[in-house]
Amino acid sequence: MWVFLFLVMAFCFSFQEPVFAEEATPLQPLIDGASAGDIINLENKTYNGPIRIDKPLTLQGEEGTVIEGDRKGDVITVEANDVTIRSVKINQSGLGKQHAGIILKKVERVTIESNTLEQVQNGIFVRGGRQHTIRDNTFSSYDEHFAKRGNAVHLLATKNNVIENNKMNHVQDGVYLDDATDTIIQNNRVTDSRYALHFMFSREAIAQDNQFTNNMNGIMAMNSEDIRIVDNLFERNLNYRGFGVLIYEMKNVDFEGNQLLYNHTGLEIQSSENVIVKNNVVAGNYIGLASKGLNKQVVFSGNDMAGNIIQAKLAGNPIALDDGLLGNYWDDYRSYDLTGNGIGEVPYEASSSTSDLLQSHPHLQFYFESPAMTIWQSVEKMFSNLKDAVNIDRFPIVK
Amino acid sequence: MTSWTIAKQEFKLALRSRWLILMAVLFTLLSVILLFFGGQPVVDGFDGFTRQTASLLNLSLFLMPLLTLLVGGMLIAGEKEDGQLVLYMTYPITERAIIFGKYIGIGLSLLTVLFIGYGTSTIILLFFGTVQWSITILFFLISALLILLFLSIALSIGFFVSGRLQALGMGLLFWAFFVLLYEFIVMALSMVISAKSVLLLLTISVFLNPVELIRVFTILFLGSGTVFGPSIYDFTIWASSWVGATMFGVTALVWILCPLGIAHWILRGGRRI
Repeated sequence: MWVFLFLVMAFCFSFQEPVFAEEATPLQPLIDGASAGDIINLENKTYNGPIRIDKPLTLQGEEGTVIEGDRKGDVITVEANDVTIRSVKINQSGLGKQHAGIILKKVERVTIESNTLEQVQNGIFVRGGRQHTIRDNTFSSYDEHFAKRGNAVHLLATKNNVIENNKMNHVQDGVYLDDATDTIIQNNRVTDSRYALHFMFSREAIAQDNQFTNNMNGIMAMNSEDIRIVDNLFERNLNYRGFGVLIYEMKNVDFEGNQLLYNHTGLEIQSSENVIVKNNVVAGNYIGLASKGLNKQVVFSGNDMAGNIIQAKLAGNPIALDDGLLGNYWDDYRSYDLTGNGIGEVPYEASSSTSDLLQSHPHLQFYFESPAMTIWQSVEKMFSNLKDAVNIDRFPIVK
Repeated sequence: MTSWTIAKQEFKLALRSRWLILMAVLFTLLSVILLFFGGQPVVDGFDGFTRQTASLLNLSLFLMPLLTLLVGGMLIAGEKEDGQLVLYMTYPITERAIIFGKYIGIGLSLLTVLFIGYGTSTIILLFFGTVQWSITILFFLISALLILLFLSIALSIGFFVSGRLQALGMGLLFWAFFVLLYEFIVMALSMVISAKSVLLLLTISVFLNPVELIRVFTILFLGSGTVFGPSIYDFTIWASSWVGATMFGVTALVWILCPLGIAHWILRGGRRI
């Protein structure tokens, strides 16, 4: 009889043992046990979240370190200054109520670097506070439609942050700046998301050397001011209503040295003030440059406009297509530079009946620059009246 | 006596005549322009299909059919006027052999001139160190194909008309139709028919005109099918597949053989010789 019982118990334990082994280690006791300024080295295993960090600490992971949420709320909540989270994999946040992999609550100087955040709704949610660094991380959200996903980095009412060298894929917005001040966003790559960058009611931001590919919009910039967008690449944002960059009700924007390639609309400027668009390459888009609404002090000069099916679709009040000395290179400009100063002698008119025709009969794009279309356009140029034209570049560049 | 004899004789005659030197100069100029400007990207970082590539392609699409139609038609019509063709007919040779002989002979001499033209310009550009072989070969092939396609039309014109002047007139008429008017006609048609059949109309229209055939497939070959736009995406996908490529080849062959068949029919009927 005892022997029988022993056998039964042995049988049960032999099943239970691996279950015990797979169970994750709870992380909160480790944090509670540490004192301020400690470095907690995490091992190559899965730790149980969610956790709260309420003192200055460094969480240092190694290859294979995972901090797993319970799919209900945020995975890591940071409530202390000077926290560093490095080299861990964070996953399983809640889905549905703006939950995040890491949430920073009104704290300062937090560094989040070299982490992988996946299967989280928002990656990092920064609520208030200042001077955070978010660097070298990889983000992706749940495999849902982008309306249900969250943002890789969500900045809300925060200041002086740096976001650099991150990879963001399959999120809602790459970086969402809501009432954010003085933000540096550089060398990030955002792909397959809704907006790579999304500005709302923010100020003093610089976005440089980023690559935004295959999103709905590269940058959606709304109601913000003092924004510099420099040397970025916006590529293949091909959605029917997709833009390389949409500048909407913005003030003081510097847009220089960017490449806008193969988007549905390269750059659209709507109801904005003091927007300088200089030395960009706008090529291979369906519509190169678009404008709408009441724009003030918008200057578009020194840009290369090539291979756009419709070079410019300009509505609303006219915007300046030259800065008074220099215009842009338009690959459909058909006149000559007789004086040798690199500028054509006849102004360029940035709208034509061919582009109107294309908008009403899209299938005619099949004859893009075909022999017949070329003849049509030449005849049109012959009879066009530049004096009546509103959208003209007085100093088109000839190469 | 076979078509080969005719071809050899035609080739020799062509090499002796002056029009060939003129054409060689013309082709050299043309290809220098094409290769010099085609080889330089105007915009850094963008290598897609631009209006520049388009205008270079158009230069070939305008000039090659014109030259081929004029030269081919006038050569045959000239022989008719001078009585040479009647002389051929007294020899023991079939009409088919005469036609193939003429096609091969004139075709070879035109291609030789084209080759000399592109060769010269490549050598010229080699001195400036800017030869882009892919562009060179592409434009050479486009031009060669246009010559082969339009030569057979030129021959049937030549056999049909009664003299050089008529050949000139008809050549220009055909050129204007294929290069200038055709697209306008299709565009006009596409705007009146129902939206559902537009794709079918455009697809058929490509194969009914050698100029369109070359234009569309060159753009596809350059991997720039997206410039045709989303509304005819289905066509772009289909034409880029191997089925489309086969259709392209077969149609090109039909465009060479059909006009030659018509020429044969004209010659057999003894019309206006």
